[in-house]
Amino acid sequence: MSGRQAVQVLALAVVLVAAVAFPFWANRTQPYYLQIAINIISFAILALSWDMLARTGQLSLAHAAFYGLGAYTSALVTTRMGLPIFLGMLLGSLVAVVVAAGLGMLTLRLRGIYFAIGTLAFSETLRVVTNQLRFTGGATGLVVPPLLGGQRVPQYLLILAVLLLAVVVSWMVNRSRWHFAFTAIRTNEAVAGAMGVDVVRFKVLAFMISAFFAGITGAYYAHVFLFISPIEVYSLAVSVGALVAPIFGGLYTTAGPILGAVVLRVGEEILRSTVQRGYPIIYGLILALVILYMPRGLIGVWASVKSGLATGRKETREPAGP
Amino acid sequence: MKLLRAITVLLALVALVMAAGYQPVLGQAATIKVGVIIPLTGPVGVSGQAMQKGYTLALDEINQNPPLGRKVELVIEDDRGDPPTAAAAFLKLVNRDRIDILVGGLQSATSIAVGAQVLQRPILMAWTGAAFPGFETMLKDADWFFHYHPWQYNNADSTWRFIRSTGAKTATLAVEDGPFGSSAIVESGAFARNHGITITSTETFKTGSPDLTPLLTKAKGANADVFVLVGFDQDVVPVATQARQVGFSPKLILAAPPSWPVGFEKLAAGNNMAGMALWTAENGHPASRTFVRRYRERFNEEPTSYWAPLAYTNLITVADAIRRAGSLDLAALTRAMKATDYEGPIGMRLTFKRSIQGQNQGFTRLIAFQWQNGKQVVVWPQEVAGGRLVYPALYR
Repeated sequence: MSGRQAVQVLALAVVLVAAVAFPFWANRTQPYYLQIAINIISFAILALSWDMLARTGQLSLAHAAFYGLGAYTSALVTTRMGLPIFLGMLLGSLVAVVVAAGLGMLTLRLRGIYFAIGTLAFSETLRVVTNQLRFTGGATGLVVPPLLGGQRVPQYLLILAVLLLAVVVSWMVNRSRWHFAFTAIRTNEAVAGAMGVDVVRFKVLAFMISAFFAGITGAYYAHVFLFISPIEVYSLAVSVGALVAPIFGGLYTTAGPILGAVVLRVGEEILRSTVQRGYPIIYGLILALVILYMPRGLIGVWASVKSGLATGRKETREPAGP
Repeated sequence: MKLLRAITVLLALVALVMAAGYQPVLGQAATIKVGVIIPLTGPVGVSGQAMQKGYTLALDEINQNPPLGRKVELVIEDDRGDPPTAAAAFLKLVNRDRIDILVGGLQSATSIAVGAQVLQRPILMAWTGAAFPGFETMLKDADWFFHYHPWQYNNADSTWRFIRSTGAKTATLAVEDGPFGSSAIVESGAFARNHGITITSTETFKTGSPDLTPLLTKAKGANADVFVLVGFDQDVVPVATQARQVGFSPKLILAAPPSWPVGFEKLAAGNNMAGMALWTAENGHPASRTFVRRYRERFNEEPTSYWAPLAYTNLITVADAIRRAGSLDLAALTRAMKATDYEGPIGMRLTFKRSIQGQNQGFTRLIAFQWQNGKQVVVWPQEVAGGRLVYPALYR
């Protein structure tokens, strides 16, 4: 290990220790920051999981479906069957994975806008069905038992652990042969297939990984905010939020979606608590400007600054990952 | 190492938020801080903005004679209709703004997210919104929780009680297929039966659909006395106009949108349509008239939503409780709130009593009104009625 690498590992360790120590300080002095951190981390997991699927070139609008399936499965098995919450959350994420595999087999042969419409339709169908069923609580929703006794410190540590797992999985995907397969599929699916890449298999796998994290985040949401209804957990806003953060932060990387989620949520919170009513306009304007003038997101800007390139110069090289 | 750099930027941003939010503590402020959590933006932002105006009017009045000799200061947080934001807003209010009392509330999901936090950090919670009984269950043991808005079952009971008062025997339902309409379907059957009304048919529709003539034609075939529409403001105008197109004229068309479309009073086809609400601007109670006049003067517009007088009532009664309690001690405030007896712009006496599960429930009844020549004339219950119901009404 070189000296530079040692410094980097040390810095990473310090950041991790700070992230783990943070809730103990925040809970004592400023629980507000702890709540904001939980909201940011949950959003970051959704964003990163959406990005892992996007690496295969698919614009999914089904994230709300997996998020909702995780939330409802966990809520139902804990309230109706009395199962422990951790088991419920695990089942929630597994149901999302299984459904993702099925949906993947059905829709991953679709491309581009057709895939997006198909996944959106799936999400909407789940919303309508959940709305109509009595055992799901129907449209009025369900009250859900609290995770870890409602204590925010262990809740934070749990969601931080899920984020770390998502980071590790994303990092491993980007460092493995899967990265080349994903990139090949995204660049030209037909050529990738001709080169021997098992396109459907990789797409379905990406879908399943993505759904696992969306499902567990949905289940976590249910047990932290204690109430779910179809209109919230199957909301298009969940799917759109999950794709905006990676675009904002930088697509196809591990750091980009996380950075995007942090900047968006922090910015939104600052605007919300200072500007009040007019802030969505400012927020939307900033978002539009970034997407228009920073097509590679914040990570792309960082890369440009680092290499001393002029602003706006486009690179065709794919981001190499973390 | 992009990840590491991203984390560094992240930490810098978090520090920025903390710095932005830092407020030096220079001893106890002289003001009484009341935290308000309402949706100023998002899908129900219009109702939240009406609430903000109601609070503003109340605050002007309260600070002319401040309780305990200390001015009241409102710290307003926009929850965006989003539960995580609402939970964070409460924690900010309690830990950073150091509020003394919590008021506000509109939607059930955000209310539950806030309620879960308040259970861990009890504070006087004088809450206007949330009709979902699950919220009532959640806070059933909370002595410090005061709920102003009727619960869902109160709304259903009022609606079917009013229909029974008309002499109607049958009704047909048209409900939008979202949560608002679906919850009405669940409750309507039992309440209609209890009040001796037979529901002859139930049709669902997608809110905002421009063409409701197929639905109205089917309803016409059901030939019920009353047509009950459970939809939103955008559905009311198509029903009013298209009912005439298809020659549908039941004895009464009753709609219960959360708010009525602006300018509906000018729609001739809307004449004689009835509605349910907690309050209307035509309420003849003297306190209501005063409220409407002051609202017009202050904001140069008409109050169209009951959320404004409800928010006004909310803050006025809290200030009154502070005066009677003589302190901001939670136990003293709770006792004073329980002794509330107030007749304000809503036009109905407000006291807090036990509900099915809750300790302190305020209003339990809606009123019925009918559009008569561009005015919302209150027609039920008798004690607050400002006119007579036109029944059977003509919609041709």
